[in-house]
Amino acid sequence: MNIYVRDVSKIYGTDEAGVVALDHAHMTVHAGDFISIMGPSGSGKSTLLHIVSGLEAPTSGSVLYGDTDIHAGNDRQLSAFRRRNIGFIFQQFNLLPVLSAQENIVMPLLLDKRQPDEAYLKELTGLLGIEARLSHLPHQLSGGQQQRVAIARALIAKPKIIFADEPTGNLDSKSGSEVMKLLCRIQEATNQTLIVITHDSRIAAMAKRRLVIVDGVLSEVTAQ
Amino acid sequence: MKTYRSIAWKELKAQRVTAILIFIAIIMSTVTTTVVGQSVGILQSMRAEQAAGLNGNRYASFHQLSQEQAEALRRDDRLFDVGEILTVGSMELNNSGLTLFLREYHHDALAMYPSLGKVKEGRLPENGEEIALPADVMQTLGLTAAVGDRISLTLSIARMDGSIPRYEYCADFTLTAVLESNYTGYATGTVDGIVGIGAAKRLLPKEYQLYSADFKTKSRTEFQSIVNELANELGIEEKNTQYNWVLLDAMGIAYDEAKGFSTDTGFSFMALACALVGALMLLAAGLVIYNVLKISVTKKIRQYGTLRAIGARRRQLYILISLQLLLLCSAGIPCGILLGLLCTKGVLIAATGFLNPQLFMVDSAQELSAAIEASRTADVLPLLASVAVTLAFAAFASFPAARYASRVSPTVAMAGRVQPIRRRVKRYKPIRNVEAYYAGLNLKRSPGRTAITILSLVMSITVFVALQSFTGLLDTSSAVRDMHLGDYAVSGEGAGISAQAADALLRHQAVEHLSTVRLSVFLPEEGMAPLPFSTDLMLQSHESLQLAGIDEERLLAYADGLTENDKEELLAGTACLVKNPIPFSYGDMEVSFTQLATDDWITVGERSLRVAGIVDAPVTVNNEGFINGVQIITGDQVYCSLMNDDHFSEVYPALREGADADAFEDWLSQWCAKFPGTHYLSYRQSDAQMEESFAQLRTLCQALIFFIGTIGILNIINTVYSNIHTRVAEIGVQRAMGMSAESLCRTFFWEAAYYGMFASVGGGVLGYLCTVVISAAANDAMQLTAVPIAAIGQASAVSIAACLLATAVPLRGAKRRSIVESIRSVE
Repeated sequence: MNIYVRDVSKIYGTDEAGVVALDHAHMTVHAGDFISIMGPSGSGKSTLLHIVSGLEAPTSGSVLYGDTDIHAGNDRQLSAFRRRNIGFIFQQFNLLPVLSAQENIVMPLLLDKRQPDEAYLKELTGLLGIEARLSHLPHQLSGGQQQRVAIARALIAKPKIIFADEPTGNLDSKSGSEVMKLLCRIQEATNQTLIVITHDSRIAAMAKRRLVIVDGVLSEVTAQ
Repeated sequence: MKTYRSIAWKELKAQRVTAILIFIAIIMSTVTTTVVGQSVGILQSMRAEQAAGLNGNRYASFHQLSQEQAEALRRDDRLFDVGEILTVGSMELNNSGLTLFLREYHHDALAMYPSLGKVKEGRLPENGEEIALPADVMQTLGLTAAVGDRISLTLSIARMDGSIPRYEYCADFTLTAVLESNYTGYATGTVDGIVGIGAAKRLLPKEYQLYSADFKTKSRTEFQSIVNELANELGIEEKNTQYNWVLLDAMGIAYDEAKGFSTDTGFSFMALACALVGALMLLAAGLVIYNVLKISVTKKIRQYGTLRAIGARRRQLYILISLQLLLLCSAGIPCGILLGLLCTKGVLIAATGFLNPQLFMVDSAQELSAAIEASRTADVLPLLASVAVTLAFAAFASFPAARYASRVSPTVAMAGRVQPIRRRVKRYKPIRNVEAYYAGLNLKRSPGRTAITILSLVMSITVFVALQSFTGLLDTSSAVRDMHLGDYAVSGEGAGISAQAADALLRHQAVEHLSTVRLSVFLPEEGMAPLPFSTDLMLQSHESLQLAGIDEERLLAYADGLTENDKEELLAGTACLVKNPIPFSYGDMEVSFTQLATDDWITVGERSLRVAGIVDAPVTVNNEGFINGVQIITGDQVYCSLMNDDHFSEVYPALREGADADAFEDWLSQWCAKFPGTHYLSYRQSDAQMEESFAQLRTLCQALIFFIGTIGILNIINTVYSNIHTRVAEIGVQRAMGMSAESLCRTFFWEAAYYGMFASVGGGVLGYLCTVVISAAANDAMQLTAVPIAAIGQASAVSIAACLLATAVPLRGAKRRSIVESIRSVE
């Protein structure tokens, strides 16, 4: 599924006090793309990710998934769209502290009233090397393990697109490198679309397409 | 900033929402403790007012006094509200079963009987020629006289000791007033008329001019000893001392005769029940403060960690937290007291406003409120207690929070690391309902908060269930109401009521149930003649022999507490119950009397009856008293075979729910006309009056339930609010993963439903235990009572509904919150 970002702007506040976080952003994401978006702090990269993933509505412009404008639907439709088509990986891991690793992983399926495919779960956790930690609570895991659980959670529903917001920002360089290698391998194996927000040029270089954003203005530096 | 303590004030200003929540909790707590304290006072006052209205605003009366004795009592400085009454005579009212007593009231004696002197038309009598009669008496007597007319009455009077013959005479009076009917005396078969002062002197020989003096003692605790001293000093015999047990019980004044009455546990029970309810409510209120404070400190833990890191000592953190609480208490407690007093006033107005104030023998709700306000005592004590309890709970509540703040590791606190969840993860099982499952886990993540929230609800349910079971026991009037059977007493003079006539009554469509009594009294002065059966009972010369035959249901009620075998024998006619004579003495000489015991054998006619039990209450008819002697109580079968007579002395029809009582009374009048010698007395109006007074007391209890319910709901709102605000980022992640707003709400609703369900179980069990305790206090015996399923069910349903509603309020904001903002927020 292609994603069309059409002339998207986001302004926080109103009138003169308004801050332009995203200024007429325009891009097309093809199915199977691995895209990195780089930019300094406060440049608008997270805002772009939030708008593209449907977490936040733009002030103007539209985001189309195929023919569907994701911001045109109501909360119920948007929620259903996210849990079936989108996987998120956050910098802070954001695992639900009360759930075990396995429960965290299967949560997107449960929210969609589905039960996990045991074989796929085993394969995924094996690939991520967390099969022995499934019954642990988040606070019993290291940062790297938590992020692997978060990756498994993002992948369990076999989404078409994965958004990763600074996925290695909270990890040491070794764990960060391992996590990124895993993400790349999975992306290649599954041909899912992967959009990574980062300010680390080494991570950005791993992507097939690289975009930069400065003061809300988006531009592509490496065309496919 | 001169001292670090200023941080306390700055923090309060910075965290306005939390400060306001704690402030509200303190106000609510003080309001509740104030209302509880004051309402208990109101309940007590209302009970006393009701009792005073029913049986006179007097503690006791001395009867058969000379004028000198009455004057000596008036002068006695240990007494107050002394009022003298002279009985001028009495007369039976035509076939009504009622006796009219005419009395003259000296000084303020009439004021002690607020139900008597209510003038419907005219004015109260001012001299011995004048009389005032209630409207119902006029109607029963068939008097059509108007105010100002002369009426003639045939009266009689006797001395209580029977030392001189009954004096009968005819007297003329000028009717000066028609009084409001007063039905409270119907249960005992008496109605009262008022004659002016001087009537006794005009109409009675000197030896019949005997006074009764009503009085109260200034010291309640020494009531009995004062009565004993007075009786001793004035030479008043014990039989001439009458205790107003209705009021004494209501006011909790100890007196000797109390042992004989079932209501003697009333006050101690009331005190116990109030203490129980008060304690539960105070606990619930205290838990609110505890909960909010704990949450507040937890939310600010990072700041406390920073303070510790820059060198603050633990003691200083304790002081900081206590100071914040003290600041809020210093503003909240006075506000709470003020609001509590206003609420109490509201409760009083609500309780007295919509019910008939005449139940309390006053003319308006305002008058009733004023009367209750005036009779309330010890208001300051509950107020001080409420302040002390609120402060104590606040201090108690702040301690664990302050301890937590002072002991937290500075690095951990500053890092804002979330407290690890304690959970034993079992083998993964498929999750069918993710919202319910997640809600269940959420309950466990903050067990203290969950426990307190549930506990506050448990308190509410417990109070509701307990109050349901003790409102009945608060009702003073029920003791009077229980004195009669059925809705009517139908008496048969002479031969009595034939079985055929009684059957016609029973078959009437409006009649649900018919209690029956057959009673034959054989007096010693008549040589027991004509005793139709032989007996081996050897009675004293002054004792009567009585044979009573009552219906099976009443017989079994009398036999309550006996064994099943005893009951079977009673029904089979091989055993009987016995009422022994009342012992008495002449001066210092004890008069001997017959005393039968359980398992004695009596031969009556050709039957040998085992005494299955001894009863305290004799069987009487037509509102007549018990003629001292031995009363043998049996079933109808034994009575009929011994007396060879199946006529009833009295029957008591009870009407079906919703039956047309007026139509039945018309029919009953015709029935009486058809069977000469029969007449009936209606308890309908008096019962309605009594029931209304009960409803009034219940209203107050409902107000208490409302207050404790409000506290429970406040706790839930606070908990849900805190839960939402401490899980904002988590909610954001869930929403990002695709949880819809509805699904988010369902998770919180499940959580609320769990609170309600757990609380229902806990509250139900605790409420039942309270019911058992209350029942034990009322019956003086510890035994399991029926589970109050209806009360528990109602409380549970309301609690769960309240939980859901209370959750809906803070959820509205959470639903609308931006997912991105939520994820970015620091928990």
